[in-house]
Amino acid sequence: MSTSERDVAAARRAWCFGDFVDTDAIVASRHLSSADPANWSAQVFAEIRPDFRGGVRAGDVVVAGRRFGTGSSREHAAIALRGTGIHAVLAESFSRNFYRNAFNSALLLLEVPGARELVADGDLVVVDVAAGSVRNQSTGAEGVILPVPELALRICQAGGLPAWLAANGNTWTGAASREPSGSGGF
Amino acid sequence: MGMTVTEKILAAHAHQPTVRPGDVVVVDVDAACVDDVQFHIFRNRLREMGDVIRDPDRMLLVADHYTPPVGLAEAAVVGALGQFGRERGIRTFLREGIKHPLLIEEGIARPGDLIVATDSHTNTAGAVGAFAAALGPTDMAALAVTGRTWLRVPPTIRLEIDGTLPPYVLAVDVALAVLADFGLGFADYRAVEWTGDTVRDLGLNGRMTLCNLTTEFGAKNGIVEPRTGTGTAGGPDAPAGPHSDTDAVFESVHHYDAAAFGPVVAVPPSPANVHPVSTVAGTRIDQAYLGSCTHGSIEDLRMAATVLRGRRVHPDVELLVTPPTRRVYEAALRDGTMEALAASGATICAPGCGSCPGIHAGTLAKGQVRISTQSRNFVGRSGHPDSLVYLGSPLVVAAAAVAGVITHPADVLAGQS
Repeated sequence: MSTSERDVAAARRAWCFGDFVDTDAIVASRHLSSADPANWSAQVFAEIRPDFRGGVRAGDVVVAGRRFGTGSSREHAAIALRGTGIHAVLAESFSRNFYRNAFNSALLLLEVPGARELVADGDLVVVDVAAGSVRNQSTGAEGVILPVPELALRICQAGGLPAWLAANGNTWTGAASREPSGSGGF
Repeated sequence: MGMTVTEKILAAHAHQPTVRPGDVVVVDVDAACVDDVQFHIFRNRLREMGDVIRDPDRMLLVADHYTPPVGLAEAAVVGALGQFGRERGIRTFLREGIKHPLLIEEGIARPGDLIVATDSHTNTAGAVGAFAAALGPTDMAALAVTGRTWLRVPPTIRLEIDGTLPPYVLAVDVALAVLADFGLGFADYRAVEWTGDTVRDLGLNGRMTLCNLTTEFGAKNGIVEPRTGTGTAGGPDAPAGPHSDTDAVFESVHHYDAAAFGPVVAVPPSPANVHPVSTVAGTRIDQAYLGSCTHGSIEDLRMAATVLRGRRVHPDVELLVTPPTRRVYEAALRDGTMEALAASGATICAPGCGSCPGIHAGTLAKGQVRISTQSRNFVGRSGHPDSLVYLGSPLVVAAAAVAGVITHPADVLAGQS
């Protein structure tokens, strides 16, 4: 994840999706047996949004409704989305399995109440995780990012779980904490 | 302040006297299972993390989605998984069936245990009173290296079902009706605890179905309080385990009278799009499917056989039967269930996840319609994006197989089809 000043100020193109986008729709089952993550990435949203893969640019954001990443717990979905170079997924809520998998693969997920009302497909948005705010540059509308659980953010900022764990001496020391109940995946 | 059964299990595995919802705790696990679909990722992550497995005795490897392999890529995964298991001394199941019923049949998941597996339907093992939740393959590699993992203690939603279920109503009808009431993902990030007379009397097979469908509720785990002597065929009787305290704090409690439930069908493309079977009666089907971890026991096949015995599958319908495990297959051979199914015209497939994920025998073509005992009917779940999957009980699926259209099981049993 990138948190430099320049990146925070960047206006990002939004790719919008509805509620309950399931992991089959992110990467269909028949592509999972490939050992190469590039093959999963090549298939992202192939069936529900065929123009996504050709059009998405590094730093873009995916915006969705409720329970993004529902269904099968395949981690391929998070790794493949991360592989498209998107900056983050902004959604009303996420499926728990997808949430955890995403942060472990350094894919930033942000819970944004009313995300779909705030952003339309093709809008430009500015995302500021530290300030907890998202601004639709195309409309001027502003929204709130719910606090990201601290452990998830630390794992994401380290570049994913393998890097975080290595830096933590292959232990979970410091992982135990208290998080607000009822939001933030897991 | 008391604790729920889920909180008690997490506290015990975190070596803490108490936990509260919202606590992030580092826990020991009793069993950690990696499957074929996620094996590549697990293997690569484990290498990144130093390639050491701290406690191989607590790990399991299961090939259930790809077996027997249909293509070279799947064959390579299963081969690599088997070899890895042999090299590292990990208990490995290559052809025994789906991990969720296997964990119960093998006595690996026990009351009070903490079980994790790289599969969203891991919740199923909550049927024996264990905390059972899905964990991704990267988390699983970290668990292999450290011997532990972290979990956030979920708030608990308690579902109380009391009374006697009407005829033709099975556990899946109860779970789908609850899902329809509250909506897909209503239990996101939460524990779901099933309780009440009806749940106690369902037997282990029905409780497995209830816990399995909490995955579609969004729940981190689904759990039935273990009670002595209520287990039935398909697994060991559940000994006493931890219970929720009378002063445990639940996020919400919902009560149902069992008499209010009826046979239902979930209409594509959502398991929460639930309708009484009578309102979708007459819907033509191409395929009927008896299988998947949602119905992981011999009882489920026996139920279907009560409809299919002495009848023929409709000539326009393909009936596929995938025994969930080898043990269920063998039991169904011994008691005549399998003979009744095969004689009706069913095609019997190898034990495993089978046709549910759309990557194995029975994949649906464009425009084809399936009715199935599986738990998911999302777009493209079992084949072409323009295929359709209706969800129902073994009775409803068997009745549709005979009639060629969705129909109430009573109509087939009465000879009207």
